[in-house]
Parts: sequence; C-alpha cells; structure tokens
Amino acid sequence: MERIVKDKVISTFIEVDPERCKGCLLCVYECPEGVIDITNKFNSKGWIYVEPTFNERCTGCKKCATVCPDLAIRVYMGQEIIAGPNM
Amino acid sequence: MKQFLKGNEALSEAAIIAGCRHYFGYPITPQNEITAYMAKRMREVGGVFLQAESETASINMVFGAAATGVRVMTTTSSPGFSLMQEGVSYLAAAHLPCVLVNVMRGGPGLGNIAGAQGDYFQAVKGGGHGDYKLIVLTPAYVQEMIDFTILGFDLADKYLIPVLILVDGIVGQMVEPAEFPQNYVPKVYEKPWALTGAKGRPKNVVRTLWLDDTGVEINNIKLQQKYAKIKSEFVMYEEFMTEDAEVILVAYGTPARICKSITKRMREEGYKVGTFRIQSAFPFPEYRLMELALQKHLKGFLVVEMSAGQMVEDVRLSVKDYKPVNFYGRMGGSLPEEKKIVEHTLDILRLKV
Amino acid sequence: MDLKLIFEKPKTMTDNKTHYCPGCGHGVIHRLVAEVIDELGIREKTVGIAPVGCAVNAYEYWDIDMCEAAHGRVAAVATGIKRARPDLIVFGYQGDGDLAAIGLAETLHAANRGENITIIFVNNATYGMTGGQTAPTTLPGQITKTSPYGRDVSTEGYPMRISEMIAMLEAPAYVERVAVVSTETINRTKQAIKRAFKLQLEGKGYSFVEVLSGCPNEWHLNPVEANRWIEENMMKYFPLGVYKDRYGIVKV
Repeated sequence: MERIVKDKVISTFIEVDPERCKGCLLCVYECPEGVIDITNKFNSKGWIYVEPTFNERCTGCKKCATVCPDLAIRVYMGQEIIAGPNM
Repeated sequence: MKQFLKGNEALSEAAIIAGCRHYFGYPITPQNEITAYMAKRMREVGGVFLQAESETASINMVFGAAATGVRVMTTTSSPGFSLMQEGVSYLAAAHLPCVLVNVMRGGPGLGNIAGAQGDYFQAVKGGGHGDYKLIVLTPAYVQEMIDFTILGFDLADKYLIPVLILVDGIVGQMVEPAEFPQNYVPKVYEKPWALTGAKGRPKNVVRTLWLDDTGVEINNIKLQQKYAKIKSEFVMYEEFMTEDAEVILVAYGTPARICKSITKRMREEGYKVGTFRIQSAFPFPEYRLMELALQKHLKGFLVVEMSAGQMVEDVRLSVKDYKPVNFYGRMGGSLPEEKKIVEHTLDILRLKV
Repeated sequence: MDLKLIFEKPKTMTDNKTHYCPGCGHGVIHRLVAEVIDELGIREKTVGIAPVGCAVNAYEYWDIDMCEAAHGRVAAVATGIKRARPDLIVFGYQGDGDLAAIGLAETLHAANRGENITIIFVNNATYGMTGGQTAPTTLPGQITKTSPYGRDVSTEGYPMRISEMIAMLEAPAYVERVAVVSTETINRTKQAIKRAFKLQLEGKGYSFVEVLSGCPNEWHLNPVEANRWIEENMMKYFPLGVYKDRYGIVKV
C-alpha cells in the first residue's frame, strides 16, 4: 500500500518465498488487512504455499512475518520525498 | 621424594599435576576419598569441583566440559559406572578426551564395598551401546595410580578418546610409598574442534547423531581407524620372570601382586613360574601373549582374577589353541588364595607338553 | 524510492529450511533466539545445547557453536560447558520429555545450583518427535498415543507446572512463562528470551523461559486451531507470566 504522509510517499508490501512456505496459514489469519491468500500451487517440497494476493492493502505491520515459523516472508518499506502542498 | 600415599588420593593429585582443573563426581564407596580430596584441592588450584546430583549428571557434565577442550575427570565405582554407560558411549562417539576412573567393588547389583574385578567386560567390551572402545589402564600400585593418571590425560588428548583407569578397591584404598613427578609440564594439544565460541571461524558442532544415509557409518569408520592406530602404537604390560617360565600367571591389579609374590616363592623352590601383568586392558597385549605361548618350554597359562572369569577370555583369544589357559578366581570381593593359586600352577606344571 | 527491508532473516539463523511441521512453534522460537543473539552481539561467544526431540538438529538452523546432549541431560552438559568456560553464553533448548521427564533431576539441580545459564523450555504438552505420546505436561483428558482414552489423573498424575517449580527454588534469578500463539505473545517471548540472555551476560544467575508452543501434527489440529487450543486450554493450566524476577519489579 502507498500512503502520503506530509512530504513523503510511504510504500509497504511483503514478499513470500514460495520455497520456504509450508502453507500453515498462520499469516493468513494473523494479517489484519487480508493481504495474504492461499493458492493452489505446490512448491518443490510439495507444500501448497500462500501469496500476497492483496499486497496493495499491506500496512507493513509485520504481523505475518512475526508469526511465520519458516522465515518465508520479507516485509519492505519504501520512502520517497515528493513535492507536496506545503513545499 | 617418596611419601606414604593413599591410592585414591594419589590419583587425585596426579590429575591436578596433569593439568586437570575440572572435576565432576558423585560419592560412592570405595572412592569417596577422591571427591573429598578434589573438593578441597580444586579450590586451592583455582579449578572447578562440583558434586553432581548423580553419576548420570556427572558423566554429562564431563561431556560438556570436554567439548570445550579442557582436561576433565570423573570417578566412580561399579554401580555408578553402570549409570555412566550412556554418557561413555556418547563421549567415545563424539571423540571427546577425558579421564574416567572406576574403582571396582563387589557386584553385580549393589554388591559390597570390597575391591573386585567384575567390571572388565563392561570396561573393555563396551558397557555402553555401539561399537566403541576406551583406552583402559589397570594400575596395581599406588605409584601406578599416579603414573597412569598422568599418562591417561595425555593419551586422551593425543587420540581424542576417553581413557578409563580400571582399578580394584584395594589399590584405591591402600597406603604405600610413592612419589609425584617434579616439574611435570603437561603437553598442550591443539583442539580446533572445541566449543569456544565461533569467533573468526565457522561454527563447531559436537555431535554423535547423523540422520542421513552415511553419517554414522563414516563416524564408525573414523573410530575404528583410531582404534587400529592406538593398537599399533601403544600397549602396556609387565613381565616378571617369564623368560624361561613353564607356567605363566596372568593377572592385573591386586591379584597380579599376589601372583608376583607366589612367583618369587615358587622360583625359590625350583619351579619355573612367571607372572605376566596386564597394565593396559585395551589395547590388550595379545601379540606378546601369543609370542610367549609359542615358546616350546611353556606348558600353559593360569589367569587369576577377582571375578567369575572375564579377562581370561581375552587371554584365550590371544593365545588361541596353542597352550592351555586355566582360570582361578574368586567373586564378590574375596581375595584369591595363595594355596589355590599354587595348586592350580602345579597342575599345569605336571602337564606333558 | 528508498526501499528498506524491515523484516528479514536474522544473521544468526542459517539459510536452511527447517524440517519442522507447518505451524510448529519451534520455527518461531528459533528465530527469536537468533534475533536476540544478533541484537546483543553475542554470536561469537554463544554455545547452544540441542535436546533429543524434534529440535535434535537445531544446530542446522543457528550459526553458533552447538553441542549435542544425551536425552534429558542438557542441563548437565550446560553446567559442564559453563563451568569450563564461564566467559561463554550458554543456553539449553529442550522439550517436555527432555526437560521434565527423563531430565527432571538435571533440570532442577542445575536451577537449584543457580548455574549462570539460560534454559528455554518448549512446552507443547506432548512428545512430538516420537509420534505424540504423553508428556509430564499433557493436560487431563488429553488424548495421546499412550493415553488413547485421555490422560487419567488417577493413574498418571497431573500436568507438571515446571515454571512454578523452578520459581520456588531459592537460586534462580528469572523465570517466566510465555507463548508463541499470536503477535503479542511472540513479541513478549522475545522480550523474555532477551532478558534471560542479558541476565546471563551480567552474571546474574539462572534464567528459565517456558514457551507454550503448538504441535499441530500430534494434536491433530491445523496450526491456527492449535494456537487457539493453547489459548483456550493450555493457558488455563499453565498461566503466562513472570514467576520470579530477582532483579525486576514484576511478579505474579
């Protein structure tokens, strides 16, 4: 998700490593914004993995990565100064 | 300079001289002198003495300390050594150096507190599970309690193997003249495998478990190669009047001293008797015994033990069918009788070869 | 755009993918230990001791010196290591059988001596590795492979509250029970582990952290259900909280 805060654009999103995910679904239930969804795809170990289907909803709260037992999720935050109404 | 020293206490001081500064143990007769001595002495030399809650805990504390590369020892007696067997198997499998002491008492079970030799199989043939060996030294004199302990720490570090001092309770508690080496400087061995904190090197893992297809076999091959190397480089025994002996008494520990006295007396009466005293039960002096067996004038061996007959099997394996190997022993901590030993010896002397 | 990674693998974790079941608490607890070691900067002077249990090869997942221990003997091995090298940070990591059954004597005596070590106890009310048998912490009525009719307290006794037992001893400095069933509890667990390691760094004695953790496979629940089961059942029997903190103000 991208938010404008004063003179910045703040962007937050996650990445799920399908090879590390075991499809435990703890992240799906923990995410307050419903970012993550189960897929019907298998990784090389045979686990069905999740994907951040609704990544645009991600607020960067890191709850998904916190409950993930497999370090399958990386959380990113980007910032960019822009010209704003107060500049 | 010689002093009157008690076996158990001499052993303890020898460990200190060898650079041991960590002792974990549990009280059990007949080696309580060691825990008492170490409790006092370790503090004097800035070492660690810890009375553990059991022998099981003791041997595992040894495992931990040995894994960091320090010289460490535990001592016990027969029932306690039984409790330690799991830890002994782990120490051997992990290639960890340490010195263990079993001051043997009457068994099996709780038995009694008299000196005995019923733990030979446990010590040499493996009381713990798996294919492993320990170097086993068998002192018979208080002086050897000192010398073998110092040697034991060196052998342990050199070969990365637990060394067991296997001694009967009589030698543990006897008092006789002996002396400590002066100015002994223990050899320092590099231990790159030790757990010292992964600074400037990849992490070290001390383990005995490999769940893949080959790990345990590879570890076993390493262990067997080590044992072959030790056997080719080290063995200890004492021969007393064996050169032209027609009967050779084979023994270790206290019975060996009795055999030596009998040897002297029977020689004075004109009998050609000798004593072969085992000082390392592993590696066992199999080649030398075979050499002696092949001598034409030798009629046979008499093995004397304070057990139902354990070391005798190793003598028979060494000598094969070449000469008869007879046995006389007493169990339950009772001393072999001179009369009986002489009788058995005369029996062999009367054989036609 | 200035892109930053705000959640990534701690340096002290290796890249290996774990063998643990999906949703198992071990994965989270391992990561928390690694994060704490990173944050305290003690990677090069820490030695961990692995148990016998699902975490038997924990040394695959942490990049620090590691030692194996016979089943139940972690506390004794840790004592041996710490007495030989008091300058190292020594921690044990154990499950129900290792710590509370076969290893109960070693656990209590190391705590009683106040050894300057840290013990992390993963309580999942069962023996996971061997297929889900009764543990000293199994709840009354709980069905396991060796209590197929449910744990019968009249013949098998009651679950053991280890944190409380250890807190009753004079020597231990810090005892807390936490859980890894939600973001809040996981964050608290990390604080507890960090406090325990800090106390050891300061030479302040024995610290013990009990972590309620899910075993979805052997409980025959999915991971989300398993964590709810902990909240609704285990936490009633094993309340979370600080049971001893000699150097703090918080007490239960």
